Amino acid sequence: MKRCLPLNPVVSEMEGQVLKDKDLVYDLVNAFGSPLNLVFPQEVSKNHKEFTSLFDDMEVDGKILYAQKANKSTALLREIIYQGAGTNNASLPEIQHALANGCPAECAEAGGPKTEEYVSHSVFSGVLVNIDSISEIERVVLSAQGHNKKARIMLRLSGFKAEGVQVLSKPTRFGINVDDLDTVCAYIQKHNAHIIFEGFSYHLDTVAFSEKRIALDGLVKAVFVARKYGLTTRYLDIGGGYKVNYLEDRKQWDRYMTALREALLEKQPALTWQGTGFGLRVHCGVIQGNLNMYSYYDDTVGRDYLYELLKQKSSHADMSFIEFFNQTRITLVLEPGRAMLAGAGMTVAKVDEVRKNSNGDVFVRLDMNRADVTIQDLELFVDPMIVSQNEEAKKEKLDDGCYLIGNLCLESDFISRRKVFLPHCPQVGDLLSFVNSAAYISDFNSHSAAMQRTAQKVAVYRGENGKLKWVKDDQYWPKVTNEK
Amino acid sequence: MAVAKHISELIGNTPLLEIPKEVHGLKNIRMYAKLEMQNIVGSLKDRIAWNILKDDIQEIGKKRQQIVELSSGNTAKALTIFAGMYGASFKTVTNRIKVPEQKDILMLLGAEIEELPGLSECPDLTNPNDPLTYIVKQINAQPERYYHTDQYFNSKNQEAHYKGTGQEILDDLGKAPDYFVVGLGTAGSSSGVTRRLREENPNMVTVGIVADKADFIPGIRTIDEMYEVGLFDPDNYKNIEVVNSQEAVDGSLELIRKVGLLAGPTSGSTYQGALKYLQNIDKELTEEKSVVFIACDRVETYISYFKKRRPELFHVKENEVFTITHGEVEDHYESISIDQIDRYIEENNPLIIDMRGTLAFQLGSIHKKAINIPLSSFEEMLAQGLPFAKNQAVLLVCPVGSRTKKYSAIINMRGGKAVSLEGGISSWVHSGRKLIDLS
Repeated sequence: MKRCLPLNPVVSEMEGQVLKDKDLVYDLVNAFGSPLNLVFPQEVSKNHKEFTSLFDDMEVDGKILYAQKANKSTALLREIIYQGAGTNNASLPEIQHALANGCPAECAEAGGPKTEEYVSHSVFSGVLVNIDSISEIERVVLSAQGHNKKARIMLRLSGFKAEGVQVLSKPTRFGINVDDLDTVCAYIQKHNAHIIFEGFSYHLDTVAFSEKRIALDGLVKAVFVARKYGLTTRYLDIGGGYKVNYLEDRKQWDRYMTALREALLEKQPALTWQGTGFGLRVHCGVIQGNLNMYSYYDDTVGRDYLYELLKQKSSHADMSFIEFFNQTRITLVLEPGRAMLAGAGMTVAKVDEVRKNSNGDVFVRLDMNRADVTIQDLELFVDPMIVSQNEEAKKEKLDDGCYLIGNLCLESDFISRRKVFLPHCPQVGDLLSFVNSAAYISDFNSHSAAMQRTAQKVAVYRGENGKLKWVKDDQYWPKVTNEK
Repeated sequence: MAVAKHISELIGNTPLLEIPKEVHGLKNIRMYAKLEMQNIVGSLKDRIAWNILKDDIQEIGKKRQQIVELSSGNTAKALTIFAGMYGASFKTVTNRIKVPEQKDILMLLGAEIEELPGLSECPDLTNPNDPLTYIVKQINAQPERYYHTDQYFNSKNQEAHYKGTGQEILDDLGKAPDYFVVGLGTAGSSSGVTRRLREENPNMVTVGIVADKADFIPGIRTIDEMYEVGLFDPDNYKNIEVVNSQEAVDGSLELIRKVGLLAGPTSGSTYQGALKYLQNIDKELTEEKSVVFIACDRVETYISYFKKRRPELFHVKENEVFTITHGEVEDHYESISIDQIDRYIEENNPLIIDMRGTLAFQLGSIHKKAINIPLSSFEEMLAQGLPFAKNQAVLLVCPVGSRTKKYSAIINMRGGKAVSLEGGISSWVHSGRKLIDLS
C-alpha cells in the first residue's frame, strides 16, 4: 500500500487570500527574489483581541507585551503597538526599534542578556528593566545614580520549588533564584532612592501546566515577601509560551508521529534522511530518547491555554489565579511572541530542481536554505503549499513523498529531513509557500552563508475595497480610522 | 489458608467473575473479568512488584537502598509498600501522574515522587531529557544507592503473569479462553498471560487496548509510547483497539452500576475495548466462545478523573444563596463613584466592608477603617438577617463593583442603606490612589 502522510497546515484568512492571488505572489518573488517573507500585519489585531477579551471576561487587569524577538518585522511591530500592546525586548537594538516606532517607554520592557549600554539606555529612557541576576541589579543602581534617575525594575525569578510532590524543571541559565529573594528585596529597599519596584516575572522553559502553576504560585508568594520590605507589587509577568496550532487535522499529526517511530524501528520504509530521529533513537528494538520537537498540533492554544493555566489553584493564595488577579488588582502581564503572530506571515521560495536518486528518493531543491524556515535547527512538521505557475501542466504524483533540500553546498542543508507528502510533485519554477512562519520560523536564524540571499520582507494588507496591497516592510503604517 | 503471615501471600489467586449476558449484550460469547483489583495493595501490579523484588528485597533493605521505577500509579504503590516493609525506600520518576489522588496516596504510603519537566516551548536539541536517560544517569552516579526495578524491560514482570495470572485463568476456566483482552502499559500482563494461555490454545486471540493519542487513560499507553516498551511485541496481538477516556468512563460506570464491580477507568477501557472488538465477531458466530478481560484496579482513586469528564454525576452546580432578578438589582442598588467617595465617607461615616478574600485584603484596602468579610461569609451572615443596624450606612467594596452592586440591592430591598463602590478596587487603583496596608 502506498504511504501518504500529509501534514496540512492551518491557513489564516490573509494567507488564504494571498495564496489565491497567484500573480501577486509570483510578481513579488520575481521582484524581491527567493526566498521572500510576506507579513500580514492585519492578522495580529485578531490575536491581540483574543487575549484582551479574556482579560475582560475574567475581570482582570491585563497588559500585553509583544515578544519582539519572534520576528524582526517593523510592519508587525507597528501594528501591534498601534493595537495598544507594549513590547518585551531582548536587546538594545530591539528597544531602539520599539521606541522609534511609537512604543511609549513605560510600555517597553528590557529583558534578555544585557550589555552596559543596554542597561544604561533603558534606565535613561524609563523602560522597565527585567532584572535577571543580582549583579544586574547593582549595575542598574549605578546607572540610575549616574543618570540621576529612578530605574523602574521587575525581578525575574527562577528555581521555584513545589510543596508536596517534587516537580523537576530543566536547569536554567536565567533568573534570580527565589532563595535569594529576601536579600534582593532588602537591597532594593536600601536603594529605593534610585529604584522603583514594579513587580515580578519568571523564567521557565516549558509549556507544562504543572511547572507553570508552581512558578506562578512562586510569584504569588513573592508578592508577600516583597511586602515585608515595603515593596508594592504592581505587575506579575508570566511571560510567553501560549502556543500556536499549526496543523489542520490531529489525525494526520498522530499518524505521522506513529509512522516516524515505526520507520525508525524498520517496521515501515524510511521516513527520514539517514534515519534521523529528531531525538528518538533505536536501542535493542525499542525507541528511546525524547522527541525534541515543537508540538505542531495542539488543541489548547492562545486564549484557551491561558485560561486553563489561570483556572488552576494557587496553593499559596488558596484560590484560583483568576480570582487572585481579580481580587488583588495586580496587573497580569503577558509576553506572547508566537501566539501574537499566528497566521501573520509566510515564507515563499522557488523550486529550482527536482531530482531522484537510485533508491527512488525524490529531492525537491528550493532557492532557500534550512535556516530560512527553522529556529535552532528544529524540523518543521508542517507541509508547504504548492503555488503552481502553470495549473494546466500535467501533475505527476509522488510515489512516497519527497525531501526538500536547500541552496547551500552542504550535505546537511535539508529543509526537511523528513519525507514531505505533497499532493503532487512540484515542478521547476513553482513556488512553495511555508505558511504561518512569522513567529520564530522565518527570520530567527536566517543568514547569508555562501552569499546567498537572505529573505526580504514585504507587508501585504487589505486596502479599502478589500483588495490586496503591498509595501516594503518598513514602509507599512497601520491605518487609523476615525469612526468608533 | 486461614491466617496469612505475610502480605505477599495475599497477592494472586484472584477470582474470575462472569459478566451477565444482559449487561454485555454478546449473544454467543461468555465474558469473564479477572478481578485483579482483589490483590492486597489493589491492582495487578502487586504481582510484578513482588516478583521483581522478592529475591533481592532482604539485601535491598539491608543496604538501605532506594528502589526507583518509572511508574504513574499502581506499580509505585506496590513497590513503596514492599520497600517500606524491609526498611528500603522508593522513588518514582514520572511525568504521567495526571490524577491528583494518586499522588496523595503515594505520598501517604511514603513514596518520593519526582516529576519530569514538560515539553519546552523552544526545545534545546542538545538536551536528551527522557525519563529513562534521567534515571540511568542518577543510578550511574551512585550505583550503590539505587535498585532499578525496570518494569518495562524486566522479564520478571512477564514471568509473574505467566506463572500467576495466566495459570489461574486456566485453572478456573478449565481451558484457555478464545479471546483475551488486556490494557497495554508495560505489556507484562498481556505477554505473560498470552504466552501461558497459548500453550493450551495456540489460536487464542489477544486484543491489546491502547489510549487514544489525544486522550489519557490511567495505566494505559498510546501506541507511540508502546514502541518505547521493551516487553512489547506487536506480533503478540491480533488487534490493537484504541479507546478514549469517555469510553473508559462509560465502561467503568456499566461495570459499577450493572455488575457491582467497582472498576476503575483502566478496567472500564478494557471492557469497552473488548465489546468494540467482539460486537461484530459475535454476530457471525455459530458456537459459543469465551473471553477474559483484566479488571485491573478499583475506582476510588480516580474520582477527579470522573469529575473532570462527567461533572453531572456529581451534581456540580453553582450555589446561589440569593436569587435576585436583573431588574430588581437595577431598581434597588446604589453606588458611589471614586470622585464622590471622600465626601460620602465623611458625611455618612459608613461601615466599609471589603468583600474580597482575606489574602487580597492583606495587600491593602481603600480605607483604614475597612473591615474584611469575604463574599462567602457575607452571604452566610446575610442569610440569617442583616448583620448591622438598618440605618447604618454601609459601603461595599469588591474587585470591579459587580458583586457589590448586587449585594447593595439585596440589602436595600431589606430596608438597609448599602452603597457599592462603583468599579470596585479596580477603579480605585486606576484613579491613581494607593491601597492602604492595614496590617
